[in-house]
Amino acid sequence: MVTESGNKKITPESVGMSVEIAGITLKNPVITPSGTCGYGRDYLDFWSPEQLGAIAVKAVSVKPRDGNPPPRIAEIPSGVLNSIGLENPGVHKFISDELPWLKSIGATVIANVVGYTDDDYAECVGILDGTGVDMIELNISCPNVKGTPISASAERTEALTKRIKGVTKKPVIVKLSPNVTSITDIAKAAEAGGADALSLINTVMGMRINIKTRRPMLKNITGGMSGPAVFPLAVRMVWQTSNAVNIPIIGGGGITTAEDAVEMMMAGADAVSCGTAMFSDPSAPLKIIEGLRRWCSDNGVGSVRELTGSVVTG
Amino acid sequence: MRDCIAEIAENRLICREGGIYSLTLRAPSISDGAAPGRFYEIRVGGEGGRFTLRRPFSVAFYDMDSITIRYNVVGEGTKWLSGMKAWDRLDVLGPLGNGWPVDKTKKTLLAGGSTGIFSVLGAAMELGSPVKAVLGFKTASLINSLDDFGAFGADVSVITDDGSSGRGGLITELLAEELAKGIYDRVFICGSTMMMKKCAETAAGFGAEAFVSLEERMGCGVGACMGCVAKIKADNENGWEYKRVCREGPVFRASEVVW
Repeated sequence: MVTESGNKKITPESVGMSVEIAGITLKNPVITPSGTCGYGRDYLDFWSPEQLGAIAVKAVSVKPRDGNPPPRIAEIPSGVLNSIGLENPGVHKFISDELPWLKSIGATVIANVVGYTDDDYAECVGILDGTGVDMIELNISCPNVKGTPISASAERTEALTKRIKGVTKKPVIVKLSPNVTSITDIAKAAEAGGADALSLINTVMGMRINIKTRRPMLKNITGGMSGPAVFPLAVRMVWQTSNAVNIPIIGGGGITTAEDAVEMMMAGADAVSCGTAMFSDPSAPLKIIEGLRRWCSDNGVGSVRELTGSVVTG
Repeated sequence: MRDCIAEIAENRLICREGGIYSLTLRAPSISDGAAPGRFYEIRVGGEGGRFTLRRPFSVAFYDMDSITIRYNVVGEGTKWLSGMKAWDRLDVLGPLGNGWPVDKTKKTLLAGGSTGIFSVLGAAMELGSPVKAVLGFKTASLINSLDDFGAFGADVSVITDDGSSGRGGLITELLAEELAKGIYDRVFICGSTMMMKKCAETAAGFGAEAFVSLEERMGCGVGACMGCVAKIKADNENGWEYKRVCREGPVFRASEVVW
């Protein structure tokens, strides 16, 4: 279908797909979030990282981490409960074994960083600063590791963001947790600390029990929920956050279709992430990119950027 | 691996007591890359349904344009699957994983317990006659698929836990007697974790190289999510590392598994 916007005809091919996050231009607004796409090689039979707006790779820490004992994953109605526990080979192995390939194919790479302490984060980001990664994402919100996540405290979020901005020139994204009393307080704290962008939501803490064995379905007892089950929660939090801050937002949580992506952008997201959907349909990211083109063309939207924050609430 | 829409040629109850079905799926090139011990992930519940995770099933046997899997109804997903009929369509991802190290120059013994027999059935097909399979079931009413082993030329011995059919006892007894003949280089073992552990110990006692097909709760099936890991021995501080059942497995050398 061809529609008209002003005098210009809009076709799926003519829809402006690029978006800008913290000075970095993404060729389209679809990102695969950390923890759902490894380091980009596992889905090569279906899509390649350079076809996406960006790939947020599996979290890296200074030293390798084993992660949690299995079972690490369970199903919930319309979603997944996981407790992987940030298993990763360490930042040095990521830089030597994964990053060169990602850059050689032209992918925009978001390095998701975790640490036990603020010093860990600073050291890891310092190591990444001299590499080809395009952006740093501070994962301060994983629900599957011991202790209270930094993202539960506005003060700690601001302090860590400020410190990290001091060790890297790369844009810093702060990934927020939904498991907080006020998402906007934490979002404002990250902005005050100098964050260049926010991404939300990380998984929602949950638990399931096998009633036959009376044991939790996950060895770690609790885990993080993702998938369509959390989508309305994510839309609400992105909307609230976009009204509270003036930095770009990567919105995600249960996005499965192009229509979901449109909705998330209308709520205030500048880009979207699509992760758990791949577990049902490995081609989901590409289908969302193509679906966005079609939706925009069908609805007289010349550029996906026009969608951001376009929800009408009055 | 490919994601394809396959047509159901047959979805037939083959063992009422066990709720076991034989599902044959047809699609051009669906079996490209298929090998015994590899698996397919089937989407259940239809698009936009309540099931987010695909269900993994090892392939029992296959030909040019079809694959057959056998499964028992254990939960909501497999219950939905059992309601599908011939001509219905299913979204199938695969083949996935590594599969059995089939080598016709190595004399191989197959050991299957309960629904673990389906994974070794594919090995019987590829190894061809003559191949020996020892199969264990809880009770006579759960015995199934013996004809298929026979059709591939396998010589089958069956043991039941309660002695309700043939011999009574544990599969390790049959395995030990067979291995005592001293003619086997390898054993492929698939069944419950306890069955595999005990069979692997038995095989080790006879100096036979044992392989097991591990099962773990699985997410993506392609290696991306790190959901389905198992502890495998490694040359590091821990002495082990997690490996992905879906990618580095599901078949591992039994001697490398940390049980």
